[in-house]
Amino acid sequence: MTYSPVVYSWRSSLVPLDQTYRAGGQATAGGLTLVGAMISNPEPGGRSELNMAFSTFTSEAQNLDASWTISQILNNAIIRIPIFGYTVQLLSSVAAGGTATDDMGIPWDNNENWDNGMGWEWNPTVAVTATALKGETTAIVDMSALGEVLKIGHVIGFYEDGYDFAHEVMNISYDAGDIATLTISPPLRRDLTLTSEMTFRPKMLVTCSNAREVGGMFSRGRHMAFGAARFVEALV
Amino acid sequence: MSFETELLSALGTADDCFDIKAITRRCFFYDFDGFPVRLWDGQGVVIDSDGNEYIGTVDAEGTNHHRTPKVRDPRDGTSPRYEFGIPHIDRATFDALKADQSLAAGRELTCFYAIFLDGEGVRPSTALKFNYKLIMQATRFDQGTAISAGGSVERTYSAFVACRTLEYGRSRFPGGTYTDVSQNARADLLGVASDSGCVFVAGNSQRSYQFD
Repeated sequence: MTYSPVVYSWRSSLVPLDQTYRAGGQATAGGLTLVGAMISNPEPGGRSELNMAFSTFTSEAQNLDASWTISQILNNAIIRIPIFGYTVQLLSSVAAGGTATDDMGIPWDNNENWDNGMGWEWNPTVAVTATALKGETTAIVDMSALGEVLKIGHVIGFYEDGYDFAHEVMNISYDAGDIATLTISPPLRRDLTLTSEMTFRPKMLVTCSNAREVGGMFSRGRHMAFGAARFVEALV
Repeated sequence: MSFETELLSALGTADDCFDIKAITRRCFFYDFDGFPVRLWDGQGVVIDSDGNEYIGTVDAEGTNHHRTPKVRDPRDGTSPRYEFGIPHIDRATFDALKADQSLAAGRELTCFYAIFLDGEGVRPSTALKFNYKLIMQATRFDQGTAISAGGSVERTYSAFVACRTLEYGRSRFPGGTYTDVSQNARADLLGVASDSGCVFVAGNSQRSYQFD
């Protein structure tokens, strides 16, 4: 019987100050060489993790969101967290074919009373040009529109079966037509088809592994601060 | 290449015997009647060279929730009882398993080894290597409450199967156990005066061999 957990979205007002995506798992085969260099024997596949640190939440809306979030992550709820475009781990918005302000959201204004003043989410993608099976670590995408801008260390993502997956580029090579062959970690969690798209603004599904330490106390003056949070990839 | 070839090449040649970089993990196949279940000691889904999917039982904290006892060599004549199981499953799966517990009796549980090569992710191309096989005999279901790591009380559902090695029930049959006397009797039936191989039986008795 398949168990489908509820996936909650990260509250957009809780923007972290710092964020680091780290891909665990198999990148190299571990071992002990004859001259004594030891490489750890990695977990095949493994999980990625996301570390975030926050500044003090000041507005009432932020603190209410923090109140909701801390209860959800204490229950090990699965949260969909975006990898934010302002860190170096993502391709810059200019390199991804946009403008410098696109990460702030695409502005819109319709003067309706449900307008919350926030922009539309910007999601630059490129097409996947070869199918890949889940469990594999290679993806082939068409980078001809953008050029050879994607490098090792960048974090990319896929959206398959209604779930979001983030992967780190561990190796990349371009052919003459700028079709890029990526080695990614962790391995693909779903099959890629020719209709799949690779995004440069990935999200990932996580659970919090230190929820007890993240939640601070609400103080007089109606504000609180989160501790440093460690989120681990939720395999769905 | 076969598992053995890959393992030998991963272990290195005689020149660099310390250059060990084999990554192997255990895969378990519960052959419930009509509902095969495949689990492995790791994270995420492993797909073997036949396309079967094994579900990883290691959680985000590195805890393996799959309870797998050490299996002993049965050549000493014993047939120990092993209990395999998962202490945390969801309610719907628990109910479904409980309703179908008759599907476990007499069915086989097989353990394989998988070897992971560099760059293969969790899709090993090498065929799995047979490790051991047990017969499932009974099921056990538990439900209760436990204090979670976060401090809250949570409901837990667990399911276990009890297994024996294939030698189970051997002593019920005449000559079923592998002793010096019975082996000589068997040899006698074939018209052989004495089976000199029987002297090795005594050497193997009263010993236990541990496999992982």
